[in-house]
Amino acid sequence: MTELLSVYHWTIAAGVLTSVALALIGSQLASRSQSVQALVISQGSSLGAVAGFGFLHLLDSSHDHGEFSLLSLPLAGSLLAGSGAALLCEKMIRPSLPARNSHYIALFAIFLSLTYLVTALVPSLETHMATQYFGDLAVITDRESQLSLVIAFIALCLLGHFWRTISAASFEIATFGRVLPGGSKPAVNRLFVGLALITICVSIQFMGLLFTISALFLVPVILSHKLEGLWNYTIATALIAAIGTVSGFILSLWHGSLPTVPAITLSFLLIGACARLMPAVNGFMFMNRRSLGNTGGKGRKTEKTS
Amino acid sequence: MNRQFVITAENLEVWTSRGELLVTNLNFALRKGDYLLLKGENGSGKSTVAQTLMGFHRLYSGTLRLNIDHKDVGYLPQLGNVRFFLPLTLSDILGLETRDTERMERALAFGLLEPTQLKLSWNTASGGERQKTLIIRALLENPSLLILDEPFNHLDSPSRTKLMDVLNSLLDAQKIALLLISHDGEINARNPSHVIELGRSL
Repeated sequence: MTELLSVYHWTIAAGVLTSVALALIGSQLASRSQSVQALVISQGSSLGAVAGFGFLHLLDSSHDHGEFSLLSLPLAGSLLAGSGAALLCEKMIRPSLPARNSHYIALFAIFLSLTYLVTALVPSLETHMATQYFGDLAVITDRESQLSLVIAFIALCLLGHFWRTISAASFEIATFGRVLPGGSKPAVNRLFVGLALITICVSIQFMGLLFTISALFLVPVILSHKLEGLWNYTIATALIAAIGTVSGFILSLWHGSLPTVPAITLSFLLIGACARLMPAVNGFMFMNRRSLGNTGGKGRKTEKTS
Repeated sequence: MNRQFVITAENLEVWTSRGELLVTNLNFALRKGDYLLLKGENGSGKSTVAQTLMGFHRLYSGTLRLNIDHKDVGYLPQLGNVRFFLPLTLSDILGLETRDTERMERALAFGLLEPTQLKLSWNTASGGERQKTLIIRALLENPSLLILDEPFNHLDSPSRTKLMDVLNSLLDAQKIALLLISHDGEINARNPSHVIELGRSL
């Protein structure tokens, strides 16, 4: 086991940082009710990645492509198509449109069909299609892991630095439908949108759709309505994402026939559920039901100011 | 002292997204210390005017001139009953940090919220506590123009009085120009410099 872990040290580091970054990004997207848009963008990004591989195959199927081409073309395709999908979501579907989630799902169906179409046209892409969807952290190359690690690290640094401002922007989008002018919020919000797009597309390309969606939304949803205070929530989300990734990966290596990404997804679920149920954790970090003297003894939720 | 106009509107006409004329011939000019009460019945276009002034609603004609930076406009939209996914406390929403004692003191100095209320979760706070939080949030940015859309909604009588006192003191010190939107003309921070009832100008 130790030997296996030493082989996969780049993969584990990349998986941990990417899942933490995605979980934090996902909590903000969920706050903005933009989860379905994220799904559309992820599917658009998958289409771009598969098309990138397809382009490589069509270009010259007998040619032995260098690692750079294998890495850069699908990644470029993923980023381009992901950005295009984001633009379509932004420009075509107005926030005031009734039942707009249905419009996003329609867009998702179009991207899914196109992905299937590209795969059908280039039969050798079937394995890439499967990897794109379900992913397997065990087959990621060191170079891919290192690139993911760098992107996730930059994302985490920026998220950490601007976390309060990004959360304030999310609050305004959820409450007022837009980021209000004032301070650095509008600029930081644009930075967050770009950062989320790049992190999601890179994760889709190297770790697959299932890992990306699980990390984006499973951990934040497990913890929702359970914690009080931004700081507590952020720490718990990051911890569960990190521990879930490591334990899921180890579980997959230990069992042998368990694929990595479903094992990680199950770990997110189990660790999140345990965290919700553990009385010690509840007492330390979770909902604190002390009553307030000046609120008429309503006993509403409070927390210590961080 | 010759005070510069913070905002001017001349012959402002505002349309709905369906192309219907909602507000016509709206004229006003506000300096710091001025207070405009914009009132009217439900659906008369008060909130749309506020959104137009903020640059969120662009279906208008006429002249609208904002002589300050956009970030110097404090804006309180009407508050719906919105729960938020992230478990923010009122303190989080006000951007208060333990190390930033100056901002904390300023937030409490308005007298609208008690220190213990800052620890409440947004999702469990009352409508009045949420409303006061958002008003303080707008005031903390030191706006030159304050646009408040139905700020007295959800507030009990003592809180309304307290808010009137806060607004009066800011107007007296000529720190802000105030545009207050209310469907209830009886609730005034003071005698307004201008009153506009949508549909007819007083």
